[in-house]
Amino acid sequence: MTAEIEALTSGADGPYFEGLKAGEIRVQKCAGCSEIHWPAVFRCPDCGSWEHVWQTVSPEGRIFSWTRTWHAFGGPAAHKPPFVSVVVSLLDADHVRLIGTLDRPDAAVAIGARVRADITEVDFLDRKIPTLIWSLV
Amino acid sequence: MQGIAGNIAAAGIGLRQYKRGTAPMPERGVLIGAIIDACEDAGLAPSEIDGFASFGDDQNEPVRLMPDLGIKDLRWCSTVFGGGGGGIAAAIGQAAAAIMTGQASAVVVYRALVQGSSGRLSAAVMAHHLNSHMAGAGLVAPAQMCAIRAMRLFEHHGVPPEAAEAIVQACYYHGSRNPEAVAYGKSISHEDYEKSRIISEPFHLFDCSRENDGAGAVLFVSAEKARDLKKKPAYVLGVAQGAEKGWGDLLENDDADQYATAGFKSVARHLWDQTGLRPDDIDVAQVYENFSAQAVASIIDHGFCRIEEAGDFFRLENLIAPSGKLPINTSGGNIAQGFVHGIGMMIESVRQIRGDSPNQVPEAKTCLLAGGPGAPIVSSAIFGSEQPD
Ligand SMILES: [Zn+2]
Repeated sequence: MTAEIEALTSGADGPYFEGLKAGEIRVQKCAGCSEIHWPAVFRCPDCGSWEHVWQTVSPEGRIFSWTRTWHAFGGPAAHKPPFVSVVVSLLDADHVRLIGTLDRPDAAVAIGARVRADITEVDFLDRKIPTLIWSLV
Repeated sequence: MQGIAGNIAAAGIGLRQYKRGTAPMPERGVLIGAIIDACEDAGLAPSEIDGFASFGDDQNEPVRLMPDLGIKDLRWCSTVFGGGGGGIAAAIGQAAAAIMTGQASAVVVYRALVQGSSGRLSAAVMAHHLNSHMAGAGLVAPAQMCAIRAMRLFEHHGVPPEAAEAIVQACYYHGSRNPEAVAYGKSISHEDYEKSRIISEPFHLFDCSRENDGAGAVLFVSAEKARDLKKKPAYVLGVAQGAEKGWGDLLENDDADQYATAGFKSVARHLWDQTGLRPDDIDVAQVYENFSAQAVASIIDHGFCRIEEAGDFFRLENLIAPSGKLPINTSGGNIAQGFVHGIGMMIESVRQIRGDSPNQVPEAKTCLLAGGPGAPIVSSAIFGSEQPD
C-alpha cells in the first residue's frame, strides 16, 4: 500500500484500497467469529479478535442514498459538476455500504435501484485514490 | 449524584458578527471583544474569568487570551471533540462540570471564526473528516454529506421537502425582524427559494447556512453567583452529548433506523431523563441548522413530532414567535441571523429566557438548544428561567 493512500484512511481499511487496486472489492471479515465489519476495525467488538481476513464480494448493490452535486466544491477534477455520488448497499453483504459515484450525471437515480461497480482511480490533492463508479443495471 | 439541574447559569452574553471578510480585527481580537461584552453584560470583571470551554476545533487557546483579559488564575480549559457544531451544547456541560466541582468559578463558552485568520469553516470541518472513501466519490463538503442524508429522509422516509423549506422560512421570518441579523428587513418568497441555485440535491442555496466572521461568548457561573450579577440568570437545566451505537463517522454505515436522523437518538433521551421535562414543556427552541433538513431531523429526534407527522408539523405558523407550537431560531438562526459556528444560537437561548429576544416568546420559561445536527457526536441543552427545587 502506498503512503499516499494510507494518509487518507484509518489504517484498518488499507486492504480495501489494496483490493481496489487489484480490481476487486474486498470487505473485512473477523477471523474469530466471521462477522463482517464495515467500516473496518482493528479489534472485533463481538469476539475480541485482532485477526481479520478480507473477503472478495460481488460488485453489485442497491442505492441506499444519493446526491447530485451542482456546486464546484473542489473535489477530484474527474468529478465535474453535475455528478452523482451514491451510497450503495452490497448484495453480498447488505449491511455494508460503500461510497462511489454514478457513471452518468443524468442517470435515473433512485433509492433501491440496482447498480454494478467498475473500479477506477481519481487524482486528488496529489494522491491517486482508487474509487468505485457505479452504473444502473 | 447531583445533576446540573439549574446549578449553573448563563450570566453574560457577547456577540460580534460581521460579513465574511469584513472583521475589523484578527480573530483573537474579535473574540476578546465578545468576551469583554459578555463580562460587561454580566457586571463581572474580565480578570475574574478562570475557565474556558469551546468546540468545533476553535483555534484560540484560552491561555493566549489571558493577557488581554487580565486573567490572574486560569483553572480550566477544555474543548469538545469534533470539527462541526455537534459539540456546542456539550461545551456548556464542560462549564457545568468545572463550576459544580469547584475547579473553576467563571467559565466562558466561546467560538470565534474570522476567515482571514482561520480559513473557511466548511474547509476546516471537512479536513477534520476527509478520507479516501468520500474524496474518491467527490464528497468533500459538509453540504454534500448532509444532502445525502436529506435525500434518504425525503425519498425513503417520505418527509416532504416543504418541511425543510418551512425551517428556512421560519429563520427568515425571525431574521427579517431582528436588527442584528444579516437578513434584517429581507424576506424570501417560495419562488425565491425554489429558484435559488441547487448546491447538492436536494439542497438549494437557501437550505444552507453561510459563514460570517465573528465571535460569541457566554459567561457561566454558579446559580448563586448569577443572582448577584446584573442580569436575570438563564439557568442550565440539563446537557447531554454523545452518540448511540450505530451512529457516527461510519462511512455512511450508520444503522438504517438512524441514518436519516440528526444523530440525537440517545442524546435526546438523556436530556429528557436528566431534566424530567418532555417536548411539551419546551416554550422555544434554537435548533442548529447547518442545513435545513438536518434541523427537521433534529426536531423529530427530540420528539416534537413523529416522522410520519412531519408534513403537518413543519409549517411556518407552527415555527414562529410569538405563538407557534414550537417557535424556532427566533433570532434568525444560522441561516438568517448569521453563522459563527452556531454560537449565536446559544446567545439567543439566553435572550429568550431573559425576555430580550427580538422575537420574544411571551414568558418563555424553557429554551432548548439543539446542537449541530448530523455530526458524529451531537449535544443538546435546556435553559430555564427558574432554578428547579
Ligand atoms: Zn469476531
